[in-house]
Amino acid sequence: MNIELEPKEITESAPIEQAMTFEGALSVVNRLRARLRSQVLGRDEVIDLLIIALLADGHVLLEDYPGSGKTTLAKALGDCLIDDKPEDQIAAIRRIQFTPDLLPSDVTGSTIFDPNTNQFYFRPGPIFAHILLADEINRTSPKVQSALLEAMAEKQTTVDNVTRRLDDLFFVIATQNPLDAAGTFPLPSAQLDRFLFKIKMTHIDRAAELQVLASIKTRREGAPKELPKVTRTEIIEARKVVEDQVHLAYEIREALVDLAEKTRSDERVLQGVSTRSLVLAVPALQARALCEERDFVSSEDIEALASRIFSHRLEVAPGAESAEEIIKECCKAPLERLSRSTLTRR
Amino acid sequence: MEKTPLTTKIQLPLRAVAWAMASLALLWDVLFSGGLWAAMLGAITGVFFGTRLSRSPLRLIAIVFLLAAAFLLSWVFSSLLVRYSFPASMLGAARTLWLSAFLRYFVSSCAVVSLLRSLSLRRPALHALELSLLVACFVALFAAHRDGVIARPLWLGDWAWRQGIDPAVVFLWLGGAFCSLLIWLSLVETRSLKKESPASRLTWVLVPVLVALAVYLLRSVGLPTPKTDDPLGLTKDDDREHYGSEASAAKQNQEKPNQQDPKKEQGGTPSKPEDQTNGAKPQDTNQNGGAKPDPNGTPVKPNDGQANNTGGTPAQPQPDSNGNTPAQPQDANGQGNRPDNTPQNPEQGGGQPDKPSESQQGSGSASQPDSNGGGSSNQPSSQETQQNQDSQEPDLNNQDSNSQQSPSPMAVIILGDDYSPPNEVYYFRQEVWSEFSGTRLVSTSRADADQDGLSTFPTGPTSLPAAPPQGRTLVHGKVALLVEHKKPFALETPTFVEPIPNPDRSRFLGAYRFESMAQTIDYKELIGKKAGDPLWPEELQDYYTRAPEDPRYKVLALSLLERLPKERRNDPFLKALAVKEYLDENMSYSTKDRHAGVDDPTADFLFGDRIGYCVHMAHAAVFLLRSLHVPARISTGYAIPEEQRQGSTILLRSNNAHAWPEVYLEGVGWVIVDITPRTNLDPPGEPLDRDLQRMLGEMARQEPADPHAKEREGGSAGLGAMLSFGLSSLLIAALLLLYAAKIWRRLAPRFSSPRELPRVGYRTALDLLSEAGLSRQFGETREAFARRLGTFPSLRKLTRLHLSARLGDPKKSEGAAFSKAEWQESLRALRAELSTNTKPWRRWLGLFYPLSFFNSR
Repeated sequence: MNIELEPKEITESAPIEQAMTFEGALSVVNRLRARLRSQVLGRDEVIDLLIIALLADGHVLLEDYPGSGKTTLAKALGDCLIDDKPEDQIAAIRRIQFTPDLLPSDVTGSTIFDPNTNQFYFRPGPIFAHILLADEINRTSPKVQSALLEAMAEKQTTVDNVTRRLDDLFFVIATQNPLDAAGTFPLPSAQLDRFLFKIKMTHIDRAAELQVLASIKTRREGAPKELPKVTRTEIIEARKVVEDQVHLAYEIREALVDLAEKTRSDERVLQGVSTRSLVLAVPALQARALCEERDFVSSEDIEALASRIFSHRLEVAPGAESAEEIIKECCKAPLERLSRSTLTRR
Repeated sequence: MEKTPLTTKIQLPLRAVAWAMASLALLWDVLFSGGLWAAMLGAITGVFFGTRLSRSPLRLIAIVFLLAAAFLLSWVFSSLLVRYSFPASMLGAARTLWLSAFLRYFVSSCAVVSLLRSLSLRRPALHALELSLLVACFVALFAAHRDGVIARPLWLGDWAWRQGIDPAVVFLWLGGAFCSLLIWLSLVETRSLKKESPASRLTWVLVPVLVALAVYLLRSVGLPTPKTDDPLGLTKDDDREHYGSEASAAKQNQEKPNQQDPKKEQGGTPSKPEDQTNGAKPQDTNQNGGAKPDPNGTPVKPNDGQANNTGGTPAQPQPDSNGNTPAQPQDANGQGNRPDNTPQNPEQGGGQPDKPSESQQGSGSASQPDSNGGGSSNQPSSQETQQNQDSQEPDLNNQDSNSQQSPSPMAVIILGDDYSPPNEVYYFRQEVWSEFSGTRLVSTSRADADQDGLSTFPTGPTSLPAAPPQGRTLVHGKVALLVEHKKPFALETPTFVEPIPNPDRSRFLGAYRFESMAQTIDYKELIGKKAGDPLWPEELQDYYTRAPEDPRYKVLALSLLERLPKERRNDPFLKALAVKEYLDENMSYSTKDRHAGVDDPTADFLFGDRIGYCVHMAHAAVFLLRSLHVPARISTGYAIPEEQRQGSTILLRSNNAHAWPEVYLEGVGWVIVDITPRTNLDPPGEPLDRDLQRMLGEMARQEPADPHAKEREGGSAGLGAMLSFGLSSLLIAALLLLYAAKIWRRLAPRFSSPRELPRVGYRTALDLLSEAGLSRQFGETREAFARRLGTFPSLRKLTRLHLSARLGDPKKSEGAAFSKAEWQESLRALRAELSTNTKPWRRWLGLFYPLSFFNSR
């Protein structure tokens, strides 16, 4: 059985009867949110960021301690998805546990010789999934990391000189453990750049933790049946809505550029915000506006997302305070200017 | 402690400066310069140390004890340093003293300031204590300066004088500077000033500008006049007895009725046949009403003794009481006149029979019904008394009060020429009494007599009949009045008077300049001059020699002539000298004996106990001289010894009031022959305050020591007035503009187009909030601001409307964001929320705060 995936096949999505409306995209968001929240308790903010990243076609790096619910989160997300194109044989969710001895082919898949047919055929690796949980990404060798990162950036992978397209909805949730740094291969900043968000998860609050303990059993059975899922196509459509229907005002773009300039001229920063990250920021901002039921990007979105998007892209001078703080400070003047601009005559 | 670096950056230096100044102010009079420096340094250190201390983990009580211990230790140690000899032997005595003081004041001021600092930092409520102590330190320095008295600190006042600046101005500016410093401090302390806001930047500038404006306006409004009890006594005195209002009242009365009242009120009286009596009548009434004292009513005998008496003794109605109670005047008149009149009438002939008119004067109770004349004359008398009380006159009778109270300054004379009078006394003539009224002399009613007298203050250049030029020189001078006078006065025999601008409105009531033909001829050269003026008509000659008919005067006068060599007995001036000699030797001066209550005070004085004062002496002298047919009269005013002149400045005080006799010598005019008794029964008066004299002189002269200072002052005064006017009008204009902008911004949503509505409407909402003190912070997004004000749900809605219109797709210009109804409803809701969520006083305050919209961002 030849299960080699033709790129053509993968990219072709089911024909859409009707373009999705803003309200339709909003309902996608709401369904995702409801299901995820029922499964992962006390992580509302992370869930929102995850949805934003999903809609903005970005990837997420979770920096977290073991046992804080990363896998639960990723699995819950996978559980939300209905694969409405089962013929492409792409799984809804895959998980790779990165170890130092992992090989690129363990991630991407490899060609295998079939003695029955005397032919090589491609056996897709876990990367061929809608949602990929890359656990402890810093534990594996740069070779493997770069294999994954190529896939993340280009949505394609090359095995044996054959480039194969991944699914349009290719969403990576990578994690790394801030502790136990010995023997790890920290991601270089160029690779960190591939992640839209780097989310530092803190411990959930007491009430949420108590609730987690109380609801072990019910949650083990999965999300309640009555909570509707979303289809893969719907997510793709929602991405289009985000791109087309959420207005990005000139003032907002100006504020983004101001912010970038501010970080570049800051003494505490060695390498400021790159243009690529600004480009990546735009859909994220739009996605957040959608999540907030707004059809325009507002200053609030910048305030909420700036440190998530930019802080891991910043090279901070030694001895300076954390990148988050710097970003927050750098935000103030552009945001002030933005806020004032709304009161001036156009 | 401090949240923003700005507050720390500015607050500490500000505070250090304030405390250093405060310690300087507090200790200025106490310490020498080393100690002062120590105290200032200590205060500055204390500010920083206290701030540091308050941030230390030490408990407040520990800090208090620590600082108290440091304070005590420094005192103990510094006194030990001075007590024992070995430090002195090691360091030298002077250095030891200096070190001891330095140590003591450095440590103690440091301890006190740090204590206050840390108290106020740890317990914010105690900051009030710190600030009020700070204020108290300054107030203590300038406390003596209140009410416009320029007293302390002398160094500053002296310095200002030297620079030609009114010290009051210097003190005002000092106060203003300190005021702005305090305002800054409290603004910084309450963190009302934020670095980012332009309004606060404006405030830094605005505070001193406003304070400067206030100082300027205060200057143009006028400074307070010093009070009565001020140490300089630069004021009117409310204490009537001090000024002997009786006497002044008397004088006024006599002059007024004589010159104006009789004609006005009595109408026909002068023309009546019994014009002596009738003529006397109105005068009497008036003057008696005023203060029975003197003059006119009683013929032969100078009456002032009685006048004084009545004035002085409570038993008899007084001018004061006249003034106060309408019923009194008549009594006063009655009682006052009766004694006068009874003797007078027989003598005058007309007297007794004139019952109707006399009785009105004589018996107060009966007077009213008697004659309209009396009635009408009574009325003015009381009025005049009241007037009299308002003004001060040189007081001839009040010397007794001088012994208890220091004489108060009355006027300042600046002489324009170097003139020394021949008998070393300056005579400033105010009034002339020459008309014999039965017992004493009063102001003349003749037009041709006493033409050299000044009756009213000049309103323009006024020339007087020229005095005979022989033996006289022209003297220019300037008079600045410190108290109100009824009549002007000038150096004897004035020829010209003219009002001049008041050199210093806060000190003087008025000023004029005079030109006088003052006597220079030596008294010796007067011997041989003829008496009187050949140009005088017979009547006038008679008028000036009319004496009482009491024969004793003539007898005494003739007996005096016997002392002169026979061939010289007809010389008028020698006659006068003989009279003067006699009076000088045989009379005793005392203000105690007023010869009151007698019919003829002059006779009572001259032929009685021979104790009296200037008025008695002058009357006695004039009556004696007139009985020798020498034209003589009395002048009153001020007499002041030449030795009391300071440079060109003469300070006239109340005890310089005087009356003196004058004789007329042909070619020379009226020559003063003053009586100066050898025996003075009164204690010596208070010596003249030379500093005061100099200071007042400087003021009256208005010529600063520095010749350029005048120009500068003139320039700066004009500039200052312009500046203050310009500034205040600018300020008012700015204020109006701000209010107009405020109102426009408030009303704009009603008139704006839907396109502009989201901007204009939201601006109004922000204005409303900022009036209540709620405004977005720097860098805060609009949504975050709306979230922060959770009690204003309509703000969220407004924000959403605003942002969707401004940041949303510009192609959409429909919908809620552009609906006027929507905006107005939301704004109404916001107003309702404001009234429930904020305090009314805060809203009212915000409503009137013109800059509130600067905070709505």
